[in-house]
Amino acid sequence: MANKKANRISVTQLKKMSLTDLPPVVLVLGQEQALLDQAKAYFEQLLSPEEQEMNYGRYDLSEDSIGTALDDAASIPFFGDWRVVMLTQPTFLTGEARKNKVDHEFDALIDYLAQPQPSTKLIFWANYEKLDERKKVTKAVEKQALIVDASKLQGYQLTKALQQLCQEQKIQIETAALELLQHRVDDQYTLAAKQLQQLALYVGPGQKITMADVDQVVEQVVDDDVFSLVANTLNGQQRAALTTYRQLLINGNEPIQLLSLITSQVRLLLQTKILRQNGFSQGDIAGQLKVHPYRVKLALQQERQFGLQQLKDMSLELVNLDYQIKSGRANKEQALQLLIIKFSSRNHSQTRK
Amino acid sequence: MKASLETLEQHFATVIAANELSHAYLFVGATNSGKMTLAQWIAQRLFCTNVKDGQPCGECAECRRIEEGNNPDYLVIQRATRTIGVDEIRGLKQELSKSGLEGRQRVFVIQDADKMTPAAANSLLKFLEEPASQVVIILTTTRLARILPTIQSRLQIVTLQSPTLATREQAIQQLGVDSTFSHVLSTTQFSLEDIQGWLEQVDAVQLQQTFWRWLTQILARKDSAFTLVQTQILSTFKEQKLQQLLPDLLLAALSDLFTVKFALNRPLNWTNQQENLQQFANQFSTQQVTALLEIVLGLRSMQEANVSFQNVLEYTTLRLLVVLA
Repeated sequence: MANKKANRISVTQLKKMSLTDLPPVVLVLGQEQALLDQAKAYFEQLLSPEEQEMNYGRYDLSEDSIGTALDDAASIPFFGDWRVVMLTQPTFLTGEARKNKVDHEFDALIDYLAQPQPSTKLIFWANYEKLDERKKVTKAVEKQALIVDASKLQGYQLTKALQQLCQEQKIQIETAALELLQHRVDDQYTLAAKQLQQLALYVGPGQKITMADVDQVVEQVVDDDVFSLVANTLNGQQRAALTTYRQLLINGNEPIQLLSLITSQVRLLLQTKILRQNGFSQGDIAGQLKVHPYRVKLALQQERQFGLQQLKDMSLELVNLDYQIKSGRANKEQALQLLIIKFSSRNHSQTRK
Repeated sequence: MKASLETLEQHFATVIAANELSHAYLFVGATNSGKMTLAQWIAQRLFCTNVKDGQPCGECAECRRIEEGNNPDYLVIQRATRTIGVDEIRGLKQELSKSGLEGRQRVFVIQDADKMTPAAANSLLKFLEEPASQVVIILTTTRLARILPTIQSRLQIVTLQSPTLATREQAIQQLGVDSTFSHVLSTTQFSLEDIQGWLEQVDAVQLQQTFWRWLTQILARKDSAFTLVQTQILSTFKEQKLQQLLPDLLLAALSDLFTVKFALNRPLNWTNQQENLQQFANQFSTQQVTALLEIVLGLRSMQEANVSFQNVLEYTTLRLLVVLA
């Protein structure tokens, strides 16, 4: 299995596999909850309830060491043909700094992967976005395992997956309605799948879901990410910025806190602009400001949309507003909204969402 | 009228001897002018078991307990925080309603009473109006104007003479600060203990260098002054007290610029910056110099409104640059 793509399958393909087809090591990778749920349901139905009692092992690797799990995996099944060992929280496969105290015996794992027990299905449950592929143990797992892709679906893949879901559940939906649905749920498969079931109930059996139905039933998902508020405000996407702002207020965010986030982004833009004009390179800027290089890289791209004077004015305006609010001379919700409107209407050249 | 510590002690000795001590005082005076010494003297005079010629002995158990802060009837409220809140005053009021633990008079001191929030000050009013007997309450402050008028009118105000700047400057120099910087520091509101505290954390020379590098870049109309705030000033001026010092340094420097520009016949604060400032003073118009000074004067009120130190400095930098542009 030298070719990387050869050992990578989708959850739909996985569901069609029988226990015998399944290779001894499987890695489920991704964060799409609906797909993960499907995969989980699949693994759980592999063994009959009686067999599960004896032959289904589950190890949380943030608490149990891999050695214990491997001992279980290496033993022969009792009263049955197969043993399924599920390993959750394999954080050691990712680049994340290790928080757990468990010491894993990676050599033992690598040895096991070289010669897995044929009667055992060892499943790594990696509900992460991606793994750290530079690690030796990650390489070993990826080489041996069948990788089940449960990552976020996008674009064409998403549409296809939803269509498939409709077929399976015998839901009929207009193409345009499906598009609207995807837009409303902000391209989240899990949410779309849930909404589809609601829609099916709403129109009743045998009926086709129309655009009007979607429009009535599905509410627009509002981005409630503070960073998109900052980005939208500075990129001139006024409408998106204002909806996000409203959502953030409903969620209980403090306007002063939001203001300070905008301030710090404008500050970074101004700093990078000044330093770039003084001839500093990207790395030097990051070093001087003690800011993460990637943030500097992004700031250097964004900074060019603004004039030096414009950024200075914005910075003055932001701090002044902070002072006004803190000395009780401005209503914080309204004043910040006004500022967002002002800032986001500066750049008309940008396309609107 | 300002009076020296000795005169005041003499005055209070007579008052106490005549049993005419009022229930509440406000001691006003610059830092290190001896407000706390006087308060402590009064407490000792009241509790001392061995008063001689109207003076506490300073040796008996009572006197020593007061000196060491171990007497439950002599209570000092002293806060390192920026404000004294209403909860703290409520706690004090509860104490005030009790009689002396050892059956005598009680003395309460609120140090830096100007730090009281309006709510805290107002909650104290009622007590000042209807004092419990056997209690003396002393408020101290460096800034009389910051005490509510309604409080002021209920207290006897005692103004203390400030130590002469020369004495203060000498004392600061003895902490190992060079002469120019001690001169600048002597005019600020910070106590010797404060200054000693910083010196343990930062190098005075580096502090001045960083400050002047920043200011010189502003005066030279360089935008890089803006980035210096994050790259150098923040890491040097970490302590909150140091952050309160920076406006003073800036004000001293710009008032020097003013002095140089208008050739005023008064000594500079930053005596070692004469040439540097002269060169800039020649480039700027008189309006510009006054405008710079005006911006810096507004800096402290921003800081007091809790605008972050970085924001205040960056804002000031940009505004100063606008004036000079």
